[in-house]
Amino acid sequence: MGRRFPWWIPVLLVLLFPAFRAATRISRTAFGEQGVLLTGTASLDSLLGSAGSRPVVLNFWATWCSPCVHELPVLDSLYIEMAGEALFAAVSIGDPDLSTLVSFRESVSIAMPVVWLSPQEAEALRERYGIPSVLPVTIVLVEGRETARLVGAATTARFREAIGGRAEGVDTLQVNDVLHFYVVGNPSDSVTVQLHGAAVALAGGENVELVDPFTPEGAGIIEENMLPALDRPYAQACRGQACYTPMFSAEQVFATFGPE
Amino acid sequence: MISPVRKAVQFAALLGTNLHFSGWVTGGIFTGLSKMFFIPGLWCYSTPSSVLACPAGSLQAILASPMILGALSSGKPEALALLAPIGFIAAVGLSSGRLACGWVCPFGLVQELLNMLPLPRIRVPEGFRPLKYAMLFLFVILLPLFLRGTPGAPGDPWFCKAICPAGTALAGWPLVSMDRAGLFRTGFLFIWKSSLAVVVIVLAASVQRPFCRYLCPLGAGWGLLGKVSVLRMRVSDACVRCGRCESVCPMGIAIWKVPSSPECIRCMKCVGECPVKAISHGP
Amino acid sequence: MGRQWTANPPFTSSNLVAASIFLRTALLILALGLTAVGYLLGDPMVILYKAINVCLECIGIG
Repeated sequence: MGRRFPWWIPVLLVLLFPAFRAATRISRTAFGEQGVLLTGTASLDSLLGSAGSRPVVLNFWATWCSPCVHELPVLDSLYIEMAGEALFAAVSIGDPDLSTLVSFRESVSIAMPVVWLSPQEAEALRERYGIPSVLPVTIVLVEGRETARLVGAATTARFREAIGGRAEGVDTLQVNDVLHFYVVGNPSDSVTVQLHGAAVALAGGENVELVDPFTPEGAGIIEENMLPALDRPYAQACRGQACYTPMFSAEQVFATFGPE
Repeated sequence: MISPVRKAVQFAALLGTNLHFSGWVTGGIFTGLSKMFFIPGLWCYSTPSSVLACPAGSLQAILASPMILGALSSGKPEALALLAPIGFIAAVGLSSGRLACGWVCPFGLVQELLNMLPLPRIRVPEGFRPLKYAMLFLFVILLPLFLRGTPGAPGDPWFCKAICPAGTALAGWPLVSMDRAGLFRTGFLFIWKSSLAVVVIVLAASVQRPFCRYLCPLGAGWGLLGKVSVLRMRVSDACVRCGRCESVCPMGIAIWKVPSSPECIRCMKCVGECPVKAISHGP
Repeated sequence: MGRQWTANPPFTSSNLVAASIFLRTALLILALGLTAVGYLLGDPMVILYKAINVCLECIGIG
């Protein structure tokens, strides 16, 4: 070992250890571990581009959508189980602020890649895949072609069928799935009263739940159903296991569903 | 006469880079607009008092951004931002090679101060020096650009993440020790980087500027650019080969043999030491 | 006597020296130009954003 021995090579190999460790851990996030957060359509597209011939499972969701939030762990455990056999992504298309998603991820761990899109990008993606105004929607793509579509939260078995190509056709909202409303706000507040009135007019009193977030029972209902915590009164309409974006005025409610 | 002037410039640069004194008390970092601009040296922008950006850190951060490969091929503004650190690093190096290392870089000064500790001097084989080029091309450029967990996901600034002792000692240790809220969960990387930092710090007492010699990616780049810099070191024919320049050189090089050595930090110690005034710095 | 060991390029023509200085200065100006393009046409906020947020990688967490 003379003066000219290239000592730098063994030292470099040692110093590469953390990068090597990271490279071999790629895409092996365990259930309950936080996966990656991507932003923008370009990131989503380069993720989709890496699918090859594998099926792609695109879950469209938003933090305010309680069925979506209930469904995420179901889909996530499937993602872990399939270990790379299919490409999964949970695409948030209903959270205008990235910060909402970031703080959501502080309390909930999602192992599969989560993609955030700005409102304009989300709108463009809704058009690209023909996503209805309710969430969650899960579509399965094989080589770019849609092979299955699940509207509303689904079960593990249903996801398996859809990914395995055994789900025939498309799940659409059932006509007999009743429209029901959660109206969240102080009952003495005039906006809450108007929202409640509009909801009752559309869905009937038995399908409307008025939730006062300032009472322990109301807070319990919000917690249990994972309703969004917003700083103003809102009405959230759901049909079966799919929900519409929160609405803040009676006019908005009527504009969405039309006076019946 | 050069030595006190150089020390004054070095301390002024250290002070000028670290005007946010209160960071050392609050444990928060500076967030002003001056952080858009670079320091001609290696100094972590997460050092509590730092008011400037580390050029090596910024270069990696931009190279690691999620869509940089696409942006590079289509010439999007994200990719143009890359020209700021690249142009800055190139301009410093093309002015006078590693002059900034010897005169401005605060981490260079820190190592000089550490070298005043009374530890036995050791001689390190020359074969370690090329390591810094691997730091530049692999850890600063290639790994941030190409090592991605998920396609479309951001990469990592691998030099900062896996190596940089300046970041560990002057940003990591203070921020973690002042982290009363318990925001930082330290793990494998913290232990790994802390061990490296301890090695560099201890080594700095026994060897002059070990980080500059073996690890610094900026020094590597500036050394190479110094081959074609406007200002350069010259040794005239008056040289009598006495070897005094070599004995005072903090980088341990024989400048009388290789005036354009990429190891030379142009501290000018040899200029004052030369008995026949054969060494000069100029165009 | 020293000629055979000096490491300086044996410039014989002062024109060659002038050309070399000119080229090196042009390279430096090009680099300064690139920096300006980076700041003016690129987005310097990218640099700022990284620099004003605690760099978790730098401190050994991320």
